[in-house]
Amino acid sequence: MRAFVSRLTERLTDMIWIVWIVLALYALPLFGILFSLFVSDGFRVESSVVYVVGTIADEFLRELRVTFGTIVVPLLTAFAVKTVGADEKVPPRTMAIFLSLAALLVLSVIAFGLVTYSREPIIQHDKKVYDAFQSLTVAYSKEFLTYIALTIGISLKRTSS
Amino acid sequence: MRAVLGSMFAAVVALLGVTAAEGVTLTVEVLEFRFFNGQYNTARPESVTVEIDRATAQELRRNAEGEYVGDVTPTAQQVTIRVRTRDPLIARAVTMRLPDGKSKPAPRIRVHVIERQDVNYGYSREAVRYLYSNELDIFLALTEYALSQVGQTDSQLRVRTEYQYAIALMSACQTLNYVTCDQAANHLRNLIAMYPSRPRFFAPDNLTPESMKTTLDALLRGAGTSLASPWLADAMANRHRLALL
Repeated sequence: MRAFVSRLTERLTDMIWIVWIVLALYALPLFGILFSLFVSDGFRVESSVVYVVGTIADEFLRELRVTFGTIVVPLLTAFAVKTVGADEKVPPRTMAIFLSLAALLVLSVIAFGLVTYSREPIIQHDKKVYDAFQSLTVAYSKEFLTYIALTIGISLKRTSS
Repeated sequence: MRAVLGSMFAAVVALLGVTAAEGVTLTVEVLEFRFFNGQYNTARPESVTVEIDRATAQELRRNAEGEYVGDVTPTAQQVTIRVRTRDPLIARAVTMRLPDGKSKPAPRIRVHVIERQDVNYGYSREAVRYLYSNELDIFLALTEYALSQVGQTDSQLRVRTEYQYAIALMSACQTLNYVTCDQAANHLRNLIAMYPSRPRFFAPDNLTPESMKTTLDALLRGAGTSLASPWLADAMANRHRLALL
């Protein structure tokens, strides 16, 4: 176990790992919604996971989301994105961040569609859970778009200035 | 002369019949039930009507707060009470058999009306308490409303609600003399037919085709009886057989 931890810490020395971990934490409620959809048979079987994720999603919407934004934006600005010209090749790291954000955007849009489609079975758990899931998936879609725009904007800073 | 005497005798018999017909008074008590605090008080419905043996409805007169009375012919077999209410209360109709015999007691029926509200898993867990506390008309009102609200999407809640409604109909039939046995049997048959295609919605509540067939058999054996169901008493003592949490 100790060897595993030391191997892991050796491999996670690159600053980019902070971005990946923060993005993963930020997207955790989104993964939670998709996981609860999976374990509750499309929300049609009662599951305690739906209630737990619903509570987390509600709390995340009200309190944590804005704080997370203040962490993600400087991380993207300061560490993760290299500035490039319009004719230059995009660095692999920038492309990796862009693709990750694009994938998360797609996931959040799919999650929004599934939540809206499953309105009735989610309300059968609790209406508050449905409201939280819907607001959260909409918020994720908007924010991932904003982060994508931010990534592109930072990357092209040199050519636009 | 004989014909005249005969007609006079017939008239006297008819008169006695009318007098006897006015002798039985039906009393309906309408109560407004508040689900989440479990309290009820007398309701003020828009109207309370009665249909005797499916004949034309007649309005019952208000006797006291939440109490309505009307006359029933002694030969009446069943009555349907319809309670019309204002939103958010939900209107109700109950049909019940009247006891047989010439010296039938004056029927007194207690009908509960409930408020419109969200139906979810929490509601179904709360509702079943009224079965266990033997408040069967309340349980029937709650499950009847719930089934009308759960929609057509198949889910564990829909299955559970339909099963609870079947149990409520069955209990009301066997204990309160409501005419609901056929409806209960239909819902149970519907669930048994649904099981093979959607067993995952039945599993969390431990409902199996065998357990539902046992319930149906008990219902068919006891259908039409006006006695408190020995099956229900037994099932309530061993709640797992009801599979109702």
